[in-house]
Amino acid sequence: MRRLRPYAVPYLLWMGLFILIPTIILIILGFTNLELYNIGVFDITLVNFSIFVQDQVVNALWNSLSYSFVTTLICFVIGYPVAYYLSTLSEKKRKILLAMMIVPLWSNMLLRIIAWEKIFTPTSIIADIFGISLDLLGTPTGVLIGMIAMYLPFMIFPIFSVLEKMDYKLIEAAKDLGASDLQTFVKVTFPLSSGGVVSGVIMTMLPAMTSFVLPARIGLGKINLIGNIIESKFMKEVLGSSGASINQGAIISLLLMVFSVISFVLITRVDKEGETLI
Amino acid sequence: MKKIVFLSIISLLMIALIGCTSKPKLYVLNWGDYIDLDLIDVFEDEYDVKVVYREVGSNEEMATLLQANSSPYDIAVPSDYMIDKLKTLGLIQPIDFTKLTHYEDLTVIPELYTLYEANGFSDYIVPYAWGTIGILYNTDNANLKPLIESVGWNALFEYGDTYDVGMYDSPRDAVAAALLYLGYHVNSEVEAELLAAENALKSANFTAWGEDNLKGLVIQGTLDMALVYSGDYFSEYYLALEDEVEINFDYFVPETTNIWVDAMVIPTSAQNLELAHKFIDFFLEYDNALQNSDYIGYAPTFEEIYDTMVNDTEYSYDFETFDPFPQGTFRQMYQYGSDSRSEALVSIIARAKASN
Repeated sequence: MRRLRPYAVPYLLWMGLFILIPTIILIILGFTNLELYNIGVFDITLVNFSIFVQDQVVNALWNSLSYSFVTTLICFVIGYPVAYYLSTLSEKKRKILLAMMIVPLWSNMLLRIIAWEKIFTPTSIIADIFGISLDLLGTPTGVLIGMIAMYLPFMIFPIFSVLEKMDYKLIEAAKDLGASDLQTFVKVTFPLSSGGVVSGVIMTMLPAMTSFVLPARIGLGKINLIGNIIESKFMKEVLGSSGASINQGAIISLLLMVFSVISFVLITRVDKEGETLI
Repeated sequence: MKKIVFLSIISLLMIALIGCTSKPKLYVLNWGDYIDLDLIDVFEDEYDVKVVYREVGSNEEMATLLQANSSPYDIAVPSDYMIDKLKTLGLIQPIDFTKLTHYEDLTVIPELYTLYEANGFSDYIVPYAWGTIGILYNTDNANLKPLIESVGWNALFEYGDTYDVGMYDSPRDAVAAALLYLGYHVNSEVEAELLAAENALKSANFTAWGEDNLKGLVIQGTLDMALVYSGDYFSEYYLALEDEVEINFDYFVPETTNIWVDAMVIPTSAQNLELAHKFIDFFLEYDNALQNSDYIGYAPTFEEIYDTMVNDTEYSYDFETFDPFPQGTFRQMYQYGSDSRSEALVSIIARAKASN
């Protein structure tokens, strides 16, 4: 297999060029006053951190944390039973249900967001057909429903993949030893699936925390998450005179990256082979 | 084996980097879908050059690119306030109008010329398209038209409890709308006036803050009205005509409003001045200017082109709001102001958004 190694070089170069180097640039930008488009002398400084006291940033950080927390919680409450149910089904039924969950995921996320946007307007197709007018654009409820719909599968799949591989004999053993259904679940099934739960929580919480098209479209720009601030720092606020907003955007991005790395470490702790990551 | 693979990759990369042509290149920076690309092909053939065309989404992005040490751009199409800023920063150079052989054949619309001459742009730009900011509203509700026509800017700021109102999520435009509503100048630097504008934005009870999604929200009825650029209205209007669907929206321009103008400029970074002038001149040729303006669909900046588009039945752009500056109205044009003002504008709408 060593012969295949050279063929990995293109992608390794690619990773270096488009993952490693940009990360290094982001770190440099975050901790210096370097002007991205006018690379020259720069000083190491913590001045970019001042952005974390601005109201709109604090507000967006709070929104990111609270919306992603609630989304994750609801996804867990809905998702765990579904994953459990899936793992108990015959292969044929399971395939049908999995297909129904996975195939929509293959469609473009932006498209699905726009679909929710249409459904949430007062005069949607739902209003036309059923006379129910969902007026949820620009409301927290609308944003939450959108997020849950978007990220629920990422909660279900890791839990399902753990439950599916679980040795059923362990449950039989628990029952033989006199455990009730509830006891079996609490003492055996759930602990064994905890790896999947951790993966599921992280894979739901991180994208929810960093989403920015969804709050912009469904939240009508009134509910800002941290991703919206980053977008604005890089794309809108860049002034002709100083690139400071890019450096501020970089430091916020790094904060999110810290969250992601911590999460990755957590996942690798509970799931050494990384099998629940897909 | 290893070396061979490595070498082949390196060489592939080299080929990719060297590029495919040795023709002279002209670097153009413009907005998305804002030029008839067929005309660029014609220009390339006519002068045997390659036009490297890049699209941006904001004036700020354009400025950032032009400011870079390695900026290759020969032509850019920024808007009013950014032209001002680029000029102050020394990033654009005066245009040599003697090299524009077709400039004399056309007449810049005098009202527009007066506005940008007062801003000190006239040596630096050839205007490309212009328009207004105004109120796009849904006509399904018959009460809206008389209301908006009678109260003007007040409609956006005083009727948020009765109607669903959308505001442009752009600091300069949102604050300008508030200043116009209060009867101040769009370029006001007076602290008390800016504070009043902030309070107006805060208490307006907007249903949405958006960008180019606002027009769609008005048309589908989620919003009753929103602040938009005339270009937003035009593009939806043409789309509806083309699809032959019922037009359930209209655009109202209050008596006093802001004029935006986008114009061709030559950055100081330009490597190929001759060619840059030829490019501008090419778009000043009557037929090309007409074709391009018809493609864009915004108000053309030259009288001759305007007259043809409005009066010639082949074009018939004779709808009411096509003229950005009808007789008897008042128009103001953005200046950049100070950096601190620009930063203040960003903070103002950030605070306003947080409060509604």
